[in-house]
Amino acid sequence: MGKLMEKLIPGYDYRVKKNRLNSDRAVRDKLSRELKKSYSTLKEVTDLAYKDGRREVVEHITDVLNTLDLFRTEIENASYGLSPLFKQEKVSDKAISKMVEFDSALVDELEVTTKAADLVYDRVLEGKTSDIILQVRKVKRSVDSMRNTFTDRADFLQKETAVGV
Amino acid sequence: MEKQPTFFKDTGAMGDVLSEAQHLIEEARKEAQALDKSVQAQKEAVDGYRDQVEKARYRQVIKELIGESLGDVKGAVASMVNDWKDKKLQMKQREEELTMQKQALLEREQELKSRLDEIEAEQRERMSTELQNILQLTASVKEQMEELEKTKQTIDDILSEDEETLRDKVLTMEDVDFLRLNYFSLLQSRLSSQGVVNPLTGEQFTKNVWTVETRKNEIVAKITQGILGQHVAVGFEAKFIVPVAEEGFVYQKSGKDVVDQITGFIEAEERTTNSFKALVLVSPTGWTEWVTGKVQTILNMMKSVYLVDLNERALVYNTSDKKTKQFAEWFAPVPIEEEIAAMVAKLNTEIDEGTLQFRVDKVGEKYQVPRKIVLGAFHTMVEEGKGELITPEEGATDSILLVR
Repeated sequence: MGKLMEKLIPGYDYRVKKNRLNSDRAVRDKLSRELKKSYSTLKEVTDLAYKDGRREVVEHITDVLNTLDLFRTEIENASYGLSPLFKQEKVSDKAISKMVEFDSALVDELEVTTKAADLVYDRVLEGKTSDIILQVRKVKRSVDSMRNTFTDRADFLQKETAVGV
Repeated sequence: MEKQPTFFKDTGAMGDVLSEAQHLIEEARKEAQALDKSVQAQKEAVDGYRDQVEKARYRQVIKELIGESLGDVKGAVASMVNDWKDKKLQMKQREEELTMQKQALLEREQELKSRLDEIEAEQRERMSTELQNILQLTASVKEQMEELEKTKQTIDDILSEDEETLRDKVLTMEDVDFLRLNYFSLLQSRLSSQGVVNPLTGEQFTKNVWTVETRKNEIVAKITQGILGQHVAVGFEAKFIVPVAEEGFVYQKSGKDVVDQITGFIEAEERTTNSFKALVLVSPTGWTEWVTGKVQTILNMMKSVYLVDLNERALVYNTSDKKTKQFAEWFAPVPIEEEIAAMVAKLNTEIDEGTLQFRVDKVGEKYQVPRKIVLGAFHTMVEEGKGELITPEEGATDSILLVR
Protein backbone atom coordinates (compact mmCIF):
# COMPACT_ATOMS: atom_id res chain seq x y z
CA MET A 1 0.00 0.00 0.00
CA GLY A 2 2.84 2.35 1.02
CA LYS A 3 4.77 1.54 -2.16
CA LEU A 4 1.79 2.44 -4.33
CA MET A 5 1.49 5.74 -2.48
CA GLU A 6 5.20 6.45 -3.03
CA LYS A 7 4.60 5.92 -6.74
CA LEU A 8 1.56 8.16 -6.84
CA ILE A 9 3.00 10.88 -4.60
CA PRO A 10 6.76 11.54 -4.98
CA GLY A 11 8.57 11.84 -1.62
CA TYR A 12 5.75 10.14 0.32
CA ASP A 13 7.22 8.71 3.56
CA TYR A 14 5.99 8.94 7.16
CA ARG A 15 8.80 6.85 8.63
CA VAL A 16 11.24 9.72 9.15
CA LYS A 17 10.15 12.75 11.18
CA LYS A 18 11.49 15.36 8.75
CA ASN A 19 9.49 13.86 5.85
CA ARG A 20 6.16 13.57 7.66
CA LEU A 21 4.98 17.15 7.36
CA ASN A 22 5.95 17.22 3.68
CA SER A 23 4.18 13.90 3.04
CA ASP A 24 0.98 15.25 4.61
CA ARG A 25 1.31 18.44 2.54
CA ALA A 26 1.88 16.40 -0.63
CA VAL A 27 -1.25 14.30 0.03
CA ARG A 28 -3.34 17.42 0.68
CA ASP A 29 -1.94 19.14 -2.44
CA LYS A 30 -2.84 16.11 -4.53
CA LEU A 31 -6.36 16.02 -3.09
CA SER A 32 -6.84 19.71 -3.70
CA ARG A 33 -5.51 19.59 -7.28
CA GLU A 34 -7.63 16.60 -8.25
CA LEU A 35 -10.76 18.06 -6.69
CA LYS A 36 -10.17 21.24 -8.65
CA LYS A 37 -10.09 19.15 -11.81
CA SER A 38 -13.43 17.50 -10.97
CA TYR A 39 -14.80 20.93 -10.14
CA SER A 40 -13.78 22.35 -13.55
CA THR A 41 -15.19 19.33 -15.40
CA LEU A 42 -18.55 19.45 -13.64
CA LYS A 43 -18.67 23.24 -13.99
CA GLU A 44 -18.51 22.77 -17.76
CA VAL A 45 -21.38 20.27 -17.57
CA THR A 46 -23.49 22.87 -15.70
CA ASP A 47 -22.73 25.43 -18.43
CA LEU A 48 -23.99 22.98 -21.06
CA ALA A 49 -27.06 22.14 -18.94
CA TYR A 50 -27.77 25.83 -18.52
CA LYS A 51 -27.54 26.38 -22.29
CA ASP A 52 -29.99 23.51 -22.83
CA GLY A 53 -32.34 24.89 -20.19
CA ARG A 54 -31.95 21.91 -17.83
CA ARG A 55 -32.34 23.91 -14.64
CA GLU A 56 -32.82 20.81 -12.40
CA VAL A 57 -29.50 19.39 -13.64
CA VAL A 58 -27.79 22.71 -12.94
CA GLU A 59 -29.16 22.67 -9.39
CA HIS A 60 -27.95 19.14 -8.64
CA ILE A 61 -24.50 19.76 -10.08
CA THR A 62 -24.23 23.09 -8.23
CA ASP A 63 -24.84 21.08 -5.07
CA VAL A 64 -21.82 18.89 -5.90
CA LEU A 65 -19.75 21.95 -6.86
CA ASN A 66 -20.47 23.57 -3.49
CA THR A 67 -19.44 20.40 -1.67
CA LEU A 68 -16.23 20.18 -3.72
CA ASP A 69 -15.46 23.81 -2.97
CA LEU A 70 -16.08 23.39 0.73
CA PHE A 71 -13.96 20.25 0.84
CA ARG A 72 -11.05 22.01 -0.90
CA THR A 73 -11.21 24.83 1.61
CA GLU A 74 -11.14 22.29 4.47
CA ILE A 75 -8.15 20.53 2.95
CA GLU A 76 -6.18 23.69 2.30
CA ASN A 77 -6.87 25.23 5.69
CA ALA A 78 -6.38 22.09 7.76
CA SER A 79 -3.60 22.88 10.20
CA TYR A 80 -2.23 20.29 12.53
CA GLY A 81 1.45 21.09 12.72
CA LEU A 82 1.18 20.47 16.45
CA SER A 83 0.08 16.88 15.90
CA PRO A 84 2.31 14.37 17.74
CA LEU A 85 3.03 12.76 14.37
CA PHE A 86 4.96 15.82 13.26
CA LYS A 87 6.48 16.70 16.62
CA GLN A 88 7.78 13.41 17.91
CA GLU A 89 10.92 11.71 16.61
CA LYS A 90 9.57 8.17 16.94
CA VAL A 91 6.03 7.16 16.10
CA SER A 92 4.67 3.61 16.35
CA ASP A 93 4.49 1.47 13.19
CA LYS A 94 0.77 1.09 13.89
CA ALA A 95 0.21 4.85 13.70
CA ILE A 96 2.21 5.10 10.45
CA SER A 97 0.26 2.19 8.93
CA LYS A 98 -3.00 3.87 9.88
CA MET A 99 -1.93 7.14 8.19
CA VAL A 100 -0.95 5.26 5.04
CA GLU A 101 -4.31 3.49 5.16
CA PHE A 102 -6.19 6.82 5.38
CA ASP A 103 -4.14 8.36 2.56
CA SER A 104 -4.57 5.34 0.31
CA ALA A 105 -8.31 5.34 0.87
CA LEU A 106 -8.47 9.06 0.07
CA VAL A 107 -6.35 8.76 -3.08
CA ASP A 108 -8.39 5.75 -4.27
CA GLU A 109 -11.70 7.57 -3.76
CA LEU A 110 -10.24 10.68 -5.33
CA GLU A 111 -9.14 8.91 -8.51
CA VAL A 112 -12.54 7.30 -8.88
CA THR A 113 -14.36 10.61 -8.39
CA THR A 114 -12.14 12.45 -10.89
CA LYS A 115 -12.64 9.72 -13.48
CA ALA A 116 -16.40 9.60 -12.80
CA ALA A 117 -16.67 13.36 -13.35
CA ASP A 118 -14.83 12.91 -16.67
CA LEU A 119 -17.23 10.13 -17.66
CA VAL A 120 -20.26 12.32 -16.86
CA TYR A 121 -18.86 14.99 -19.19
CA ASP A 122 -18.09 12.45 -21.94
CA ARG A 123 -21.59 10.95 -21.75
CA VAL A 124 -23.17 14.43 -21.97
CA LEU A 125 -21.21 15.03 -25.18
CA GLU A 126 -22.55 11.69 -26.46
CA GLY A 127 -26.14 12.73 -25.58
CA LYS A 128 -26.54 9.90 -23.02
CA THR A 129 -28.12 11.97 -20.28
CA SER A 130 -31.34 10.27 -19.23
CA ASP A 131 -29.98 9.26 -15.78
CA ILE A 132 -27.65 12.23 -15.23
CA ILE A 133 -29.23 13.35 -11.96
CA LEU A 134 -28.85 9.88 -10.44
CA GLN A 135 -25.20 9.72 -11.52
CA VAL A 136 -24.44 13.23 -10.28
CA ARG A 137 -25.95 12.31 -6.88
CA LYS A 138 -23.66 9.27 -6.83
CA VAL A 139 -20.64 11.50 -7.48
CA LYS A 140 -21.84 13.75 -4.65
CA ARG A 141 -22.07 10.75 -2.32
CA SER A 142 -18.52 9.77 -3.28
CA VAL A 143 -17.26 13.29 -2.42
CA ASP A 144 -19.14 13.16 0.91
CA SER A 145 -17.53 9.83 1.71
CA MET A 146 -14.10 11.34 0.96
CA ARG A 147 -14.85 14.25 3.28
CA ASN A 148 -15.72 11.80 6.05
CA THR A 149 -12.46 9.92 5.53
CA PHE A 150 -10.57 13.20 5.60
CA THR A 151 -12.27 14.22 8.87
CA ASP A 152 -11.42 10.83 10.43
CA ARG A 153 -7.82 11.31 9.29
CA ALA A 154 -7.69 14.76 10.88
CA ASP A 155 -9.11 13.38 14.15
CA PHE A 156 -6.56 10.59 14.10
CA LEU A 157 -3.73 13.06 13.56
CA GLN A 158 -4.82 15.15 16.52
CA LYS A 159 -5.52 12.40 19.02
CA GLU A 160 -4.63 8.86 18.09
CA THR A 161 -0.96 9.30 17.16
CA ALA A 162 -0.31 10.61 20.67
CA VAL A 163 -1.72 7.41 22.16
CA GLY A 164 -0.12 5.19 19.53
CA VAL A 165 3.47 6.23 20.36
CA MET B 1 -41.77 25.96 -30.96
CA GLU B 2 -39.81 24.30 -28.14
CA LYS B 3 -36.04 24.66 -28.37
CA GLN B 4 -34.21 21.38 -29.17
CA PRO B 5 -31.45 20.49 -26.67
CA THR B 6 -27.91 20.50 -28.04
CA PHE B 7 -26.44 18.14 -25.48
CA PHE B 8 -29.08 16.84 -23.13
CA LYS B 9 -30.87 14.76 -25.71
CA ASP B 10 -31.51 11.82 -23.35
CA THR B 11 -30.68 9.31 -26.12
CA GLY B 12 -29.66 6.78 -23.47
CA ALA B 13 -28.45 6.29 -19.93
CA MET B 14 -24.97 7.21 -18.72
CA GLY B 15 -24.71 3.99 -16.74
CA ASP B 16 -23.05 3.72 -13.36
CA VAL B 17 -20.20 6.20 -13.84
CA LEU B 18 -18.61 5.44 -10.45
CA SER B 19 -18.36 1.69 -11.11
CA GLU B 20 -17.04 2.34 -14.59
CA ALA B 21 -14.47 4.79 -13.25
CA GLN B 22 -13.40 2.26 -10.62
CA HIS B 23 -13.02 -0.42 -13.30
CA LEU B 24 -11.01 1.86 -15.60
CA ILE B 25 -8.63 2.83 -12.79
CA GLU B 26 -8.11 -0.77 -11.74
CA GLU B 27 -7.38 -1.72 -15.35
CA ALA B 28 -4.83 1.10 -15.70
CA ARG B 29 -3.13 0.06 -12.44
CA LYS B 30 -3.04 -3.58 -13.47
CA GLU B 31 -1.45 -2.62 -16.77
CA ALA B 32 1.24 -0.54 -15.05
CA GLN B 33 1.89 -3.35 -12.53
CA ALA B 34 2.18 -5.93 -15.29
CA LEU B 35 4.73 -3.79 -17.11
CA ASP B 36 6.73 -3.30 -13.91
CA LYS B 37 6.59 -7.00 -13.08
CA SER B 38 7.65 -8.07 -16.53
CA VAL B 39 10.68 -5.78 -16.57
CA GLN B 40 11.57 -6.73 -12.99
CA ALA B 41 11.42 -10.45 -13.84
CA GLN B 42 13.58 -9.84 -16.91
CA LYS B 43 16.08 -7.90 -14.82
CA GLU B 44 16.24 -10.58 -12.11
CA ALA B 45 16.73 -13.31 -14.71
CA VAL B 46 19.56 -11.40 -16.35
CA ASP B 47 21.16 -10.56 -12.98
CA GLY B 48 21.03 -14.22 -11.96
CA TYR B 49 22.49 -15.17 -15.29
CA ARG B 50 25.29 -12.65 -14.88
CA ASP B 51 26.25 -14.25 -11.53
CA GLN B 52 26.27 -17.69 -13.15
CA VAL B 53 28.44 -16.55 -16.04
CA GLU B 54 30.83 -14.77 -13.72
CA LYS B 55 31.14 -17.82 -11.48
CA ALA B 56 31.77 -20.16 -14.42
CA ARG B 57 34.43 -17.92 -15.96
CA TYR B 58 36.27 -17.53 -12.66
CA ARG B 59 35.98 -21.25 -11.95
CA GLN B 60 37.67 -21.86 -15.30
CA VAL B 61 40.58 -19.61 -14.30
CA ILE B 62 40.86 -21.16 -10.83
CA LYS B 63 40.91 -24.68 -12.29
CA GLU B 64 43.71 -23.59 -14.58
CA LEU B 65 45.62 -22.08 -11.70
CA ILE B 66 45.43 -25.27 -9.64
CA GLY B 67 46.15 -27.38 -12.73
CA GLU B 68 42.93 -29.42 -12.77
CA SER B 69 41.31 -30.84 -15.88
CA LEU B 70 39.36 -28.15 -17.68
CA GLY B 71 37.11 -30.30 -19.84
CA ASP B 72 33.89 -29.92 -17.82
CA VAL B 73 34.32 -26.23 -17.03
CA LYS B 74 35.17 -25.31 -20.61
CA GLY B 75 32.10 -27.19 -21.80
CA ALA B 76 29.95 -25.38 -19.25
CA VAL B 77 31.30 -21.99 -20.30
CA ALA B 78 30.76 -22.80 -23.99
CA SER B 79 27.17 -23.85 -23.35
CA MET B 80 26.63 -20.68 -21.31
CA VAL B 81 27.89 -18.57 -24.17
CA ASN B 82 25.34 -20.26 -26.44
CA ASP B 83 22.56 -19.81 -23.86
CA TRP B 84 23.50 -16.17 -23.58
CA LYS B 85 23.20 -15.75 -27.35
CA ASP B 86 19.63 -17.16 -27.17
CA LYS B 87 18.80 -14.98 -24.21
CA LYS B 88 20.12 -11.92 -25.98
CA LEU B 89 17.84 -12.68 -28.89
CA GLN B 90 14.86 -12.85 -26.50
CA MET B 91 15.93 -9.58 -24.92
CA LYS B 92 16.21 -7.99 -28.32
CA GLN B 93 12.59 -8.94 -29.00
CA ARG B 94 11.58 -7.47 -25.64
CA GLU B 95 13.52 -4.32 -26.47
CA GLU B 96 11.67 -4.08 -29.78
CA GLU B 97 8.36 -4.36 -27.90
CA LEU B 98 9.47 -1.63 -25.51
CA THR B 99 10.60 0.53 -28.44
CA MET B 100 7.18 0.14 -30.06
CA GLN B 101 5.52 0.99 -26.76
CA LYS B 102 7.74 4.04 -26.48
CA GLN B 103 6.90 5.05 -30.04
CA ALA B 104 3.17 4.76 -29.34
CA LEU B 105 3.61 6.89 -26.23
CA LEU B 106 5.56 9.49 -28.19
CA GLU B 107 2.83 9.65 -30.84
CA ARG B 108 0.20 10.12 -28.12
CA GLU B 109 2.41 12.81 -26.60
CA GLN B 110 2.62 14.64 -29.93
CA GLU B 111 -1.13 14.35 -30.46
CA LEU B 112 -1.85 15.75 -27.01
CA LYS B 113 0.62 18.58 -27.51
CA SER B 114 -0.98 19.62 -30.77
CA ARG B 115 -4.49 19.40 -29.30
CA LEU B 116 -3.47 21.49 -26.31
CA ASP B 117 -3.20 24.57 -28.52
CA GLU B 118 -6.68 24.10 -29.92
CA ILE B 119 -8.78 23.51 -26.82
CA GLU B 120 -10.23 25.87 -24.30
CA ALA B 121 -8.45 26.89 -21.13
CA GLU B 122 -10.66 24.79 -18.81
CA GLN B 123 -9.88 21.61 -20.70
CA ARG B 124 -6.22 22.47 -21.01
CA GLU B 125 -5.47 21.53 -17.42
CA ARG B 126 -6.97 18.06 -17.81
CA MET B 127 -4.97 17.51 -20.98
CA SER B 128 -1.78 18.70 -19.31
CA THR B 129 -2.15 16.11 -16.58
CA GLU B 130 -2.68 13.36 -19.13
CA LEU B 131 0.38 14.60 -20.99
CA GLN B 132 2.34 14.55 -17.74
CA ASN B 133 1.34 10.92 -17.15
CA ILE B 134 2.38 9.99 -20.68
CA LEU B 135 5.73 11.76 -20.21
CA GLN B 136 6.29 9.81 -16.99
CA LEU B 137 5.50 6.52 -18.72
CA THR B 138 7.87 7.38 -21.59
CA ALA B 139 10.63 8.15 -19.09
CA SER B 140 9.97 4.90 -17.23
CA VAL B 141 10.13 2.82 -20.43
CA LYS B 142 13.36 4.60 -21.42
CA GLU B 143 14.88 3.94 -18.00
CA GLN B 144 13.96 0.25 -18.18
CA MET B 145 15.54 -0.05 -21.62
CA GLU B 146 18.74 1.56 -20.39
CA GLU B 147 18.84 -0.77 -17.40
CA LEU B 148 18.52 -3.84 -19.63
CA GLU B 149 21.21 -2.52 -21.95
CA LYS B 150 23.59 -1.96 -19.03
CA THR B 151 23.17 -5.49 -17.66
CA LYS B 152 23.56 -6.94 -21.13
CA GLN B 153 26.80 -5.02 -21.54
CA THR B 154 28.11 -6.33 -18.20
CA ILE B 155 27.52 -9.93 -19.27
CA ASP B 156 29.12 -9.29 -22.65
CA ASP B 157 32.10 -7.77 -20.86
CA ILE B 158 32.49 -10.79 -18.57
CA LEU B 159 32.33 -13.16 -21.52
CA SER B 160 34.79 -11.18 -23.58
CA GLU B 161 37.35 -10.61 -20.82
CA ASP B 162 40.53 -12.45 -21.60
CA GLU B 163 41.94 -14.97 -19.18
CA GLU B 164 44.86 -12.81 -18.09
CA THR B 165 42.47 -10.04 -17.01
CA LEU B 166 40.36 -12.53 -15.06
CA ARG B 167 43.48 -14.06 -13.58
CA ASP B 168 44.45 -10.64 -12.26
CA LYS B 169 41.15 -10.48 -10.42
CA VAL B 170 41.52 -13.91 -8.83
CA LEU B 171 43.46 -13.59 -5.59
CA THR B 172 45.17 -16.32 -3.62
CA MET B 173 44.83 -16.24 0.16
CA GLU B 174 48.46 -15.09 0.26
CA ASP B 175 47.57 -12.13 -2.01
CA VAL B 176 44.73 -11.31 0.37
CA ASP B 177 47.09 -11.42 3.37
CA PHE B 178 49.59 -9.13 1.60
CA LEU B 179 46.86 -6.66 0.78
CA ARG B 180 45.65 -6.68 4.37
CA LEU B 181 49.13 -6.24 5.82
CA ASN B 182 49.98 -3.44 3.39
CA TYR B 183 46.76 -1.54 3.99
CA PHE B 184 46.86 -1.91 7.76
CA SER B 185 50.49 -0.79 7.91
CA LEU B 186 49.54 2.24 5.77
CA LEU B 187 46.78 3.08 8.29
CA GLN B 188 49.11 2.59 11.23
CA SER B 189 51.73 4.86 9.69
CA ARG B 190 49.08 7.56 9.15
CA LEU B 191 47.89 7.19 12.76
CA SER B 192 51.42 7.48 14.13
CA SER B 193 52.23 10.56 12.07
CA GLN B 194 49.08 12.69 12.22
CA GLY B 195 47.00 14.44 14.82
CA VAL B 196 43.27 14.85 14.31
CA VAL B 197 40.49 17.41 14.75
CA ASN B 198 37.10 16.30 16.03
CA PRO B 199 34.75 17.64 13.31
CA LEU B 200 31.88 17.94 15.80
CA THR B 201 33.65 20.06 18.42
CA GLY B 202 36.65 21.47 16.55
CA GLU B 203 38.89 20.12 19.31
CA GLN B 204 42.45 19.24 18.24
CA PHE B 205 44.34 16.13 19.32
CA THR B 206 48.01 15.27 18.78
CA LYS B 207 49.24 12.03 17.22
CA ASN B 208 50.39 10.79 20.66
CA VAL B 209 46.92 10.39 22.14
CA TRP B 210 45.69 7.65 19.80
CA THR B 211 45.03 4.24 21.36
CA VAL B 212 45.39 1.63 18.65
CA GLU B 213 44.29 -1.99 18.96
CA THR B 214 45.21 -4.33 16.13
CA ARG B 215 43.61 -7.71 15.58
CA LYS B 216 43.93 -10.02 12.58
CA ASN B 217 41.24 -8.43 10.43
CA GLU B 218 40.60 -5.27 12.35
CA ILE B 219 42.21 -2.06 13.56
CA VAL B 220 40.46 0.07 16.16
CA ALA B 221 41.96 3.50 16.82
CA LYS B 222 40.42 5.89 19.30
CA ILE B 223 40.97 8.99 21.34
CA THR B 224 39.14 8.93 24.67
CA GLN B 225 38.23 11.79 26.98
CA GLY B 226 36.89 12.22 30.50
CA ILE B 227 38.08 10.79 33.78
CA LEU B 228 34.82 9.44 35.11
CA GLY B 229 32.52 8.13 32.39
CA GLN B 230 35.08 8.11 29.62
CA HIS B 231 33.84 8.57 26.08
CA VAL B 232 35.39 8.34 22.64
CA ALA B 233 36.07 11.76 21.08
CA VAL B 234 37.30 10.36 17.75
CA GLY B 235 37.20 6.69 16.79
CA PHE B 236 38.17 4.79 13.63
CA GLU B 237 37.21 1.17 13.09
CA ALA B 238 38.79 -0.52 10.05
CA LYS B 239 37.61 -4.01 9.20
CA PHE B 240 39.05 -6.26 6.52
CA ILE B 241 36.34 -8.28 4.77
CA VAL B 242 37.46 -11.51 3.15
CA PRO B 243 35.03 -12.95 0.57
CA VAL B 244 34.20 -16.67 0.56
CA ALA B 245 37.11 -18.61 -0.92
CA GLU B 246 36.76 -21.17 -3.66
CA GLU B 247 39.54 -23.77 -3.78
CA GLY B 248 41.77 -21.29 -1.92
CA PHE B 249 41.04 -18.35 -4.23
CA VAL B 250 38.79 -15.31 -3.86
CA TYR B 251 37.25 -13.14 -6.58
CA GLN B 252 33.68 -12.27 -5.54
CA LYS B 253 32.95 -8.67 -4.64
CA SER B 254 31.59 -8.01 -1.18
CA GLY B 255 28.16 -6.47 -0.85
CA LYS B 256 25.04 -7.38 1.08
CA ASP B 257 27.08 -9.38 3.61
CA VAL B 258 28.26 -6.15 5.27
CA VAL B 259 24.81 -4.57 5.66
CA ASP B 260 24.49 -5.72 9.30
CA GLN B 261 27.87 -4.23 10.17
CA ILE B 262 26.97 -0.89 8.61
CA THR B 263 23.51 -0.66 10.18
CA GLY B 264 24.87 -1.86 13.56
CA PHE B 265 27.48 0.91 13.42
CA ILE B 266 25.04 3.65 12.41
CA GLU B 267 22.33 2.65 14.86
CA ALA B 268 24.60 2.15 17.90
CA GLU B 269 23.77 4.65 20.63
CA GLU B 270 26.59 6.98 21.68
CA ARG B 271 27.25 8.30 25.19
CA THR B 272 27.63 11.89 24.02
CA THR B 273 26.76 13.89 20.93
CA ASN B 274 30.40 14.99 20.58
CA SER B 275 31.73 11.63 19.57
CA PHE B 276 32.83 11.26 15.93
CA LYS B 277 33.24 7.73 14.60
CA ALA B 278 34.24 6.28 11.24
CA LEU B 279 33.70 2.75 9.99
CA VAL B 280 36.10 1.65 7.25
CA LEU B 281 35.32 -1.62 5.49
CA VAL B 282 38.15 -2.92 3.34
CA SER B 283 37.70 -5.48 0.58
CA PRO B 284 40.52 -7.06 -1.44
CA THR B 285 38.16 -7.81 -4.35
CA GLY B 286 36.01 -4.68 -4.39
CA TRP B 287 32.37 -3.88 -3.68
CA THR B 288 29.13 -4.51 -5.54
CA GLU B 289 27.35 -1.53 -7.09
CA TRP B 290 24.46 -2.13 -4.73
CA VAL B 291 26.47 -1.50 -1.55
CA THR B 292 28.52 1.40 -2.99
CA GLY B 293 25.24 3.07 -3.98
CA LYS B 294 23.93 2.71 -0.41
CA VAL B 295 27.12 3.98 1.26
CA GLN B 296 27.26 7.02 -1.01
CA THR B 297 23.96 8.21 0.47
CA ILE B 298 24.62 7.57 4.18
CA LEU B 299 24.23 10.80 6.08
CA ASN B 300 24.71 10.84 9.85
CA MET B 301 25.63 13.78 12.07
CA MET B 302 28.22 11.89 14.10
CA LYS B 303 29.30 8.99 11.91
CA SER B 304 30.92 8.32 8.55
CA VAL B 305 31.21 5.10 6.56
CA TYR B 306 33.89 4.32 3.97
CA LEU B 307 34.39 1.37 1.63
CA VAL B 308 37.94 0.68 0.52
CA ASP B 309 38.33 -1.27 -2.72
CA LEU B 310 41.87 -2.63 -2.78
CA ASN B 311 41.33 -4.20 -6.21
CA GLU B 312 40.73 -0.84 -7.91
CA ARG B 313 42.46 1.19 -5.18
CA ALA B 314 39.29 3.20 -4.73
CA LEU B 315 37.58 4.79 -1.74
CA VAL B 316 33.78 5.08 -1.72
CA TYR B 317 31.91 7.39 0.66
CA ASN B 318 29.22 10.08 0.70
CA THR B 319 31.07 12.89 -1.08
CA SER B 320 28.31 15.38 -0.34
CA ASP B 321 28.85 15.05 3.42
CA LYS B 322 31.48 17.60 4.43
CA LYS B 323 32.92 15.82 7.47
CA THR B 324 33.04 12.45 5.65
CA LYS B 325 34.89 14.08 2.76
CA GLN B 326 37.27 15.80 5.15
CA PHE B 327 38.36 12.45 6.68
CA ALA B 328 38.63 10.55 3.37
CA GLU B 329 42.39 11.11 3.07
CA TRP B 330 42.89 9.06 6.26
CA PHE B 331 41.59 5.93 4.57
CA ALA B 332 42.42 6.33 0.87
CA PRO B 333 44.56 3.42 -0.37
CA VAL B 334 47.84 4.07 -2.16
CA PRO B 335 47.10 4.51 -5.90
CA ILE B 336 48.02 1.50 -8.01
CA GLU B 337 50.40 3.60 -10.15
CA GLU B 338 52.44 4.48 -7.04
CA GLU B 339 52.64 0.84 -5.97
CA ILE B 340 53.71 -0.20 -9.47
CA ALA B 341 56.35 2.55 -9.55
CA ALA B 342 57.69 1.37 -6.17
CA MET B 343 57.82 -2.20 -7.48
CA VAL B 344 59.65 -1.09 -10.63
CA ALA B 345 62.21 0.67 -8.43
CA LYS B 346 62.79 -2.50 -6.38
CA LEU B 347 63.19 -4.61 -9.54
CA ASN B 348 65.62 -2.06 -10.98
CA THR B 349 67.74 -2.34 -7.83
CA GLU B 350 67.80 -6.11 -8.24
CA ILE B 351 68.79 -5.73 -11.92
CA ASP B 352 71.66 -3.48 -10.85
CA GLU B 353 72.72 -6.22 -8.48
CA GLY B 354 72.80 -8.71 -11.36
CA THR B 355 69.37 -10.45 -11.47
CA LEU B 356 68.34 -11.15 -15.07
CA GLN B 357 64.97 -12.82 -14.79
CA PHE B 358 61.90 -12.47 -12.56
CA ARG B 359 58.85 -14.71 -12.17
CA VAL B 360 55.52 -13.16 -11.10
CA ASP B 361 54.70 -15.56 -8.25
CA LYS B 362 58.24 -15.48 -6.82
CA VAL B 363 58.44 -11.67 -6.89
CA GLY B 364 54.97 -11.40 -5.30
CA GLU B 365 56.00 -13.71 -2.49
CA LYS B 366 59.32 -11.96 -1.91
CA TYR B 367 57.93 -8.44 -1.69
CA GLN B 368 54.51 -9.40 -0.32
CA VAL B 369 52.52 -7.75 -3.09
CA PRO B 370 49.67 -9.13 -5.24
CA ARG B 371 50.46 -10.43 -8.73
CA LYS B 372 48.51 -7.54 -10.26
CA ILE B 373 51.20 -5.12 -9.02
CA VAL B 374 54.08 -7.35 -10.13
CA LEU B 375 52.53 -7.81 -13.57
CA GLY B 376 51.94 -4.06 -13.79
CA ALA B 377 55.62 -3.49 -13.01
CA PHE B 378 56.65 -6.10 -15.63
CA HIS B 379 54.49 -4.40 -18.29
CA THR B 380 55.92 -0.97 -17.39
CA MET B 381 59.46 -2.31 -17.72
CA VAL B 382 58.65 -3.96 -21.06
CA GLU B 383 57.24 -0.62 -22.31
CA GLU B 384 60.44 1.09 -21.15
CA GLY B 385 62.42 -1.43 -23.22
CA LYS B 386 64.10 -3.01 -20.20
CA GLY B 387 63.00 -6.54 -20.88
CA GLU B 388 60.72 -9.05 -22.54
CA LEU B 389 57.69 -10.83 -21.11
CA ILE B 390 57.13 -14.56 -21.51
CA THR B 391 53.59 -15.62 -20.66
CA PRO B 392 52.28 -19.08 -19.60
CA GLU B 393 50.68 -19.35 -23.08
CA GLU B 394 54.21 -19.31 -24.45
CA GLY B 395 55.23 -22.21 -22.22
CA ALA B 396 56.36 -20.50 -18.99
CA THR B 397 55.19 -21.83 -15.59
CA ASP B 398 54.09 -18.29 -14.78
CA SER B 399 54.73 -14.91 -16.48
CA ILE B 400 58.48 -14.20 -16.58
CA LEU B 401 60.34 -10.95 -17.22
CA LEU B 402 63.62 -11.50 -19.04
CA VAL B 403 65.98 -8.55 -18.64
CA ARG B 404 67.70 -7.35 -21.80
